[in-house]
Amino acid sequence: MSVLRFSSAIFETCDVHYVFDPAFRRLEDESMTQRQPSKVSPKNFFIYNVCYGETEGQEEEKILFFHPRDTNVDVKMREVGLSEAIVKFAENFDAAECDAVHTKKTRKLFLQPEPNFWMIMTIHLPFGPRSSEVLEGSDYLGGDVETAVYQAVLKQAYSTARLFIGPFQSILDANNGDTTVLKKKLDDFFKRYLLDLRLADCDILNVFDGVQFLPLDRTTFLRSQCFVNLVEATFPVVSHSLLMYDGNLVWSGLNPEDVKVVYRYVCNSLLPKHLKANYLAKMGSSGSNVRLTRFVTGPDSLVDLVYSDKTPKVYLDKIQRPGFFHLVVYKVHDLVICLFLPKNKDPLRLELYRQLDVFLNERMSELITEIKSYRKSAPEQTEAPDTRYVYFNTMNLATKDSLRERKGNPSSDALVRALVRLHNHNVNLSKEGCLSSETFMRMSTDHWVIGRMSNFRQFYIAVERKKLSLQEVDDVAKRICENKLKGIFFHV
Amino acid sequence: MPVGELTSTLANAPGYEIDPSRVPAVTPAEISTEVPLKSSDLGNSAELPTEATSLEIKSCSSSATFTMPAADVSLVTSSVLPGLGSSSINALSANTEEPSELSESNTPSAVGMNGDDESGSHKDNFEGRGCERAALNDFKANVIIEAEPKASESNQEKDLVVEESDLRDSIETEAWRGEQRHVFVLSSSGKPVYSRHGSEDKLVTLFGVMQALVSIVEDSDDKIESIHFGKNVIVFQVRGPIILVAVSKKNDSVLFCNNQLTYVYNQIVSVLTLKTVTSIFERRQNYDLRRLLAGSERLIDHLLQFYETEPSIFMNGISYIPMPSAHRESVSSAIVSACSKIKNLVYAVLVANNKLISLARKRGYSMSPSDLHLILNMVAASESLKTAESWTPICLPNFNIDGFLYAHVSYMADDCPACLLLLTVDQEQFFQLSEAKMKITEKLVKNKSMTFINEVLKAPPSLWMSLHALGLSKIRHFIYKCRKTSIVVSSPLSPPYSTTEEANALFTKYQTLYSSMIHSNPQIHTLFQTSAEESVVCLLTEKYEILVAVEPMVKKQLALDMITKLCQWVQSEEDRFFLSSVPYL
Repeated sequence: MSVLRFSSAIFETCDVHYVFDPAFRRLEDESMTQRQPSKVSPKNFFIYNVCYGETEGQEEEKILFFHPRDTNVDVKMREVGLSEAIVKFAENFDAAECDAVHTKKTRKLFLQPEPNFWMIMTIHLPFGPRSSEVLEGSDYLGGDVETAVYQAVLKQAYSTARLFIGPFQSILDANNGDTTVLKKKLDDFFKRYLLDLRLADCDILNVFDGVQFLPLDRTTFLRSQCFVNLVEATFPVVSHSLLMYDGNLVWSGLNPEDVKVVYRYVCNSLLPKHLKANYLAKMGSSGSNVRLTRFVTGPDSLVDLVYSDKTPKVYLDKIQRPGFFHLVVYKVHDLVICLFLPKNKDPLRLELYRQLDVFLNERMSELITEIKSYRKSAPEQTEAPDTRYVYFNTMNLATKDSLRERKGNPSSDALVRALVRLHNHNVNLSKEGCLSSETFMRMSTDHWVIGRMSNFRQFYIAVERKKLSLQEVDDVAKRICENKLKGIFFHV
Repeated sequence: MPVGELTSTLANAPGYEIDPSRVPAVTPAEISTEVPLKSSDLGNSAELPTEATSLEIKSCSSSATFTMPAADVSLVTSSVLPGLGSSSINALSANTEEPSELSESNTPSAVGMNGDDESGSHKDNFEGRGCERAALNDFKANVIIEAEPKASESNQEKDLVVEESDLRDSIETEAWRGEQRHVFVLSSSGKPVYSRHGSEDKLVTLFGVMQALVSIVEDSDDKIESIHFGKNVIVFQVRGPIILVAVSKKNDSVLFCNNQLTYVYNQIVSVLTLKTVTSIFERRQNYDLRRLLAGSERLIDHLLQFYETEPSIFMNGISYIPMPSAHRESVSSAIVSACSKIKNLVYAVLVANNKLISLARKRGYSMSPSDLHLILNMVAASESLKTAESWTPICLPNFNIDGFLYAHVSYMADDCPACLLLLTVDQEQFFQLSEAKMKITEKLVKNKSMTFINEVLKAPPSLWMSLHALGLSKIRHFIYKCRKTSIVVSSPLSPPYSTTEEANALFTKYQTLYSSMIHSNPQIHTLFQTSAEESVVCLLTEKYEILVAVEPMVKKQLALDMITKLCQWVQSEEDRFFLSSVPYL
């Protein structure tokens, strides 16, 4: 799935593949493979608030976070100053907010997530031979970088930060405008977040930042919904919940905007870490039968006398009363339920976990059987290996894709980039008021990329098969549409 | 008395020719000045067209009388109260039809006056460096002609003027912000050179910011290329000592803006030569280039418009007026036979309606599409060329970026809108070329080509008739470019693209799709986009590039078949659209 991994309360310093040091990174790339272009890598990442440091000589106060941390203060100030100047310059022409600045060697992405707060990320463009045919000379390959992808990465960085620390302004307000606490929180969060950010692996799925839904028939879906309702009725302390099966969302009582952030966190960070911890526990503790709880977040053991509250606290934004919640994640085989309990002064009691465990375990096991039997009756059709697709529904943020299957092959990567390009076209078209379109593109490599947009839904297909006519490609696209999009979203 | 001196330079001018293309900065109010001076014999005296004589005298006397006020006012204009000069002129010339144009064109002239002393030093310098004398001549001519309106300013009107300029400022700001496309040119020290909308003097701060952005990014050994915000884009281009900036709010691609800036740069070079530009800035970094460019703003204004509406310029190709090849050949042969003996003649170009009728060139010198567009732009932007034959230096960057060609420009006849340009490297060839032109006209009248050209221009043969006959009526519009010859054939805009807005929407679509096809890695060779309005199909092949708008409901395969048929037809009719072999002079 997505390549963004999340820091959380139970973050472990497990395998860090990546050293966040551009200079080191570049050196390594150039020495290892002369003919392969270097990959996109981050140059800096900073956050500032324009309301601070307005008096001369104290401009540094506006910087709330700057990475790399050991940057010279003058360089920091120049970067912030340049960003501010660009934003102001653009304002002369139009009220639209600044999105990106292209230079020969870098891309600078801009985001104003809350009034007066600006997040800027600068990335190094890949550097290397222009194409595989031209071996002489190297160049900055701006054409290989789709800005929309990294803009999405920046947005995700913010939404994840807000999930854990809450809106930036609220932290300032709580401290009477003093920036110390906010700086500390930003620093704690981003230094780990950036460590795990693999820019080069980001693609169109980051742009959509959607949620995968589980295709179900009416009965099974209703059964799932009943189950969730029952949980909420039995435990009134649970204010929201979310049900997932095998990485796919089954039901959620949250706004899609909140769902996507929580979904990303649970699927890409919590569950993989839980799996890993389980695995290590089984292997490591010399055969002793460690009893594992079904709680992904919560107590390590339900009989533990020394219990400490370890659930992550997450901030939900798009609800009636935005605020922090305990996130309790409970897992039976492939079925996962996330429960949101309002955070107040008292920690969650162990007794509650015990009750939840008793209530959930059996019922969830039953539900799994039902879901499994439906999945058996309606198996997913597999596609030809040379076609890949992405689907995105703007209304409910549903995505469905088969992109990851052949990742790493350069020609496939170029095709995936072409999908982003196509998506940009569609975004531009919709800005002009054209909401439905169909586009076919044949690349010089004789591969095809197809994009459809209508009804706030977008569907993109890459066909890596040569010598197809437009008509044949059209047929391939139609077939995939029929196979993949049949009855997925009936519950929307 | 600097002004007096310069005026006398004109009076004693040794038969040199004023370039009409530089003059147009002077606007309708003093339109009579635009009548180019025509040299009629080999002697040193310049014979003026009758209606200009009186003006000549007036201009001399007035500048002599008002020398001091003029200098005074110009000083204020450039330093203390930006915009004062323009508004005051505005207030004075109540009979002016286009006040805004007037005010814009006069601002630089004020500065030009201010720098009279320097012009003297530059003169020495240029000659010492052996720069093109023509540039200097032009410069003088500008100063002289523009001395006239300024000289008539008087101090009493100043107060009134200030208030009015404030009012105008605020109105202009709102309207200015609403403009869809901006283009700015500045020197690397931040001195304004050109602004498409509004006067440069009011935008001084903005120019300063642009310069700062460029130089801050350069400090970190990088180069700023573009800023993206919403559907808007700002594109930067740094060309030696000149910075060009384009702002578009129309979803234009970066490639489109960059090409447009390249054209603006070429236009500036075409007026001054690169050598002059470079040497000026080597000598004085904060030189105000407007002094030398005064009068060329209109060329740039027109060029920008031209670039945005003419398919051939955006495809970087050449368009001919369609006509049977026999007729075109008889035109070409008339031109070639009259010019073949003339040494140093490089190009002979016959144009009408922004398109070529015929082109002949010296062996070994091809005409690049972008150079041709500069010529077409000059012809279209200079009304003055219509009134008399003229002699103008023009630098064609792809021919020789450091030197001038000299163009003999004349319209074929009073009743024929075709314009003939004879371009030579020899500065003294005016009369020889004038003679050649007479011969060409004679021949064209004799072999009836003239009548025919007129007929074709008045009633162009309908392309739609041909398309209907071929069963291609579902094709709404197309632009075809032959890769080998760079020749572009495009269909006229008819409903649903007949209004400017609709046509612009289609061109924007073409342009964004086309540039994304070229910029993508790997390149996109076929693009088929269907939306509710139309299907746009773009094909890049080894032989040709074609952009087509088809009715939206047409089946894909059928659309492709129609396009194949269209291409075949264009190729078979090649000699009607193209000059398949460009004749040599």
